[in-house]
Amino acid sequence: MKDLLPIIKSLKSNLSASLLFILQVAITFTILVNAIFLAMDKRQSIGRASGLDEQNVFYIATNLPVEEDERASMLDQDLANLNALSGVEYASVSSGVPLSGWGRFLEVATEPDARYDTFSGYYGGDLNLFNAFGVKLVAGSEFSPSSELRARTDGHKVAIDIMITKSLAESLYAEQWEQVVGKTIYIDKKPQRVVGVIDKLQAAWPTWVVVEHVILGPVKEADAMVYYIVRTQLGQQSEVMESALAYLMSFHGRKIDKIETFEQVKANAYSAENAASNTLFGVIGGLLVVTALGIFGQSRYSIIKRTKLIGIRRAMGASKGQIIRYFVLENFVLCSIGIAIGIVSAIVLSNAFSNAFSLGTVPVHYMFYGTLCTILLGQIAVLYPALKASQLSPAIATRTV
Amino acid sequence: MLRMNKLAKTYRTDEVKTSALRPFDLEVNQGEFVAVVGPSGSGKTTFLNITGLLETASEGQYWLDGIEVSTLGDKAKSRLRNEKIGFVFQSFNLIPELNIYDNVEMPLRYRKLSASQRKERVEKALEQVGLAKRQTHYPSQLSGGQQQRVAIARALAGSPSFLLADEPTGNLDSKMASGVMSLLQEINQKGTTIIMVTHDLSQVAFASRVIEVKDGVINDVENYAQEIA
Repeated sequence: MKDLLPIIKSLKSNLSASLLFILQVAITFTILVNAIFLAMDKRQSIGRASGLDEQNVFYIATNLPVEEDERASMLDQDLANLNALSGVEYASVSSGVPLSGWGRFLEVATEPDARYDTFSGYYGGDLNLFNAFGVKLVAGSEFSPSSELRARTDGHKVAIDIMITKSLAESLYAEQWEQVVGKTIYIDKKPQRVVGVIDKLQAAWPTWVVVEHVILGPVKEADAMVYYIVRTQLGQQSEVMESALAYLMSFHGRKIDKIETFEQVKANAYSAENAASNTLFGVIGGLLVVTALGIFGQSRYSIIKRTKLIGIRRAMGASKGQIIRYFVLENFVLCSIGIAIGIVSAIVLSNAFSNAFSLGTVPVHYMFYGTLCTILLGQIAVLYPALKASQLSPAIATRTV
Repeated sequence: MLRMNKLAKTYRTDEVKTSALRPFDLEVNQGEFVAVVGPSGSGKTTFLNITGLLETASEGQYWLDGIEVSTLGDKAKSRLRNEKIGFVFQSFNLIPELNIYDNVEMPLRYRKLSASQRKERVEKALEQVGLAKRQTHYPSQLSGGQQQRVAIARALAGSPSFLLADEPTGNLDSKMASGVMSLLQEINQKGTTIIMVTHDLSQVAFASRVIEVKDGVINDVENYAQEIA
């Protein structure tokens, strides 16, 4: 560390080169930290759980190929037969599919005449829907058998009992979210009683701010188009998909609009996020390589420029190790200054981003890891030039150039 | 103090062997002022580099203060350079971005000395060369003669066994040169051994002993002034 003072003093005489170096580190740090934060933010939304038994759920969008007044009985017949297929745990009908882009949203209020407090997604179906999704109960109870109702469309208007997600309960009652059980809340201004709270379930739109807000209603809708949600036993999914299709196609006039596993639904839902985060990671990687090359080049140049001085130091008694230490320490000092500036500008940029794109600001530990990463990058990039410098012969000092 | 036994240097490039210094024996004692003379290309610089541990001899032994140096590793040799040898170069070789004080202190930073010990030595050395008042100046603000005095102070600050001077006045005009020479003489008279490579015959008079290098052969010259006359 005895070199520290001479290093700082000699920075002044190499001011423009040092400033360039520092600027490069500062800009890299700023972009690095913000880009990683953006990419991780995207990764996080991709990685978050839907609440469903994701591996074992698939859905079929199909029609009920009968006259309007026969649809309800056709629906019951389909459900009974689907449930009877081997490998099926639960088959159910739903008014929508999580993350598929197809669903409903409603206004939610805690007081009858108030304007809405928040929004929520909605799925209505038979009593099996809770288990067909594979979601978990955290408070209250499931629907009682007598609470199941029927509607042709807009089942949410006739629902009496409902279940809501914990996230929605928390947005209404904060810490006291469990108190929502047994309470009446107002869904599109209609009073409905909350019987249970679901741990996690997502609405139909992955990028929606309140994607975690969902209401589940025990109302079967026998409309022209229905969604069958099927949860299978482990490893039985593809067989069940085949047998379910075979059964459904045995009716004249049946159209299969879509059949997809939930994992496919999820992959489609986040394909843009995935591409964006992969691109970001690629850009980050490229940036790191370019910066490392930049540091390497600048170190190499500054060392070649100082060949004579290195020879003098060697002649005066600096060992090879001390020469390496000198340049490694110099690199560390320059990187540290660059990072200090980088932290300030990263915070500024992050604030600008968070205002512009409704993102959170970069948390402190990103600065910490960014610092570590940048220092490491600098040290790796300077190692070879420093090694080369140490191999210069001390006899350079006696050469008259 | 300095003893060389059958020391020789050959350079090898692509199986061509060039003999830079033929085997020679040499002994230098405490307090001598040795001038090394010879035409350019004769092997003077090679002799200087080997003596200063900047290069390694190809054969023979070299004892510096009783230490056999030809087998030492880089770290030990660096330490010996730092502690035993004070270098004075033709082109001064000061570090332009450091001020006079920091330049003189530089070799001391490679030793285990406290800041106050270093300060004491730097100030004493600058005092000796008459530049105590220029500590905060930079090399570029000084004349060539003054810069060489700083270099001498830097060499002295480490209390070396001997000063190794390479054409110390080669870049100076005659007035400055004679100033530097009388400083070296003064230092020698106080007991410091000096080995000086030069081709300036007028400086040979300052030396107590003359060694000639000619075509890689090293010889003591008993009476140099007479020989060239």
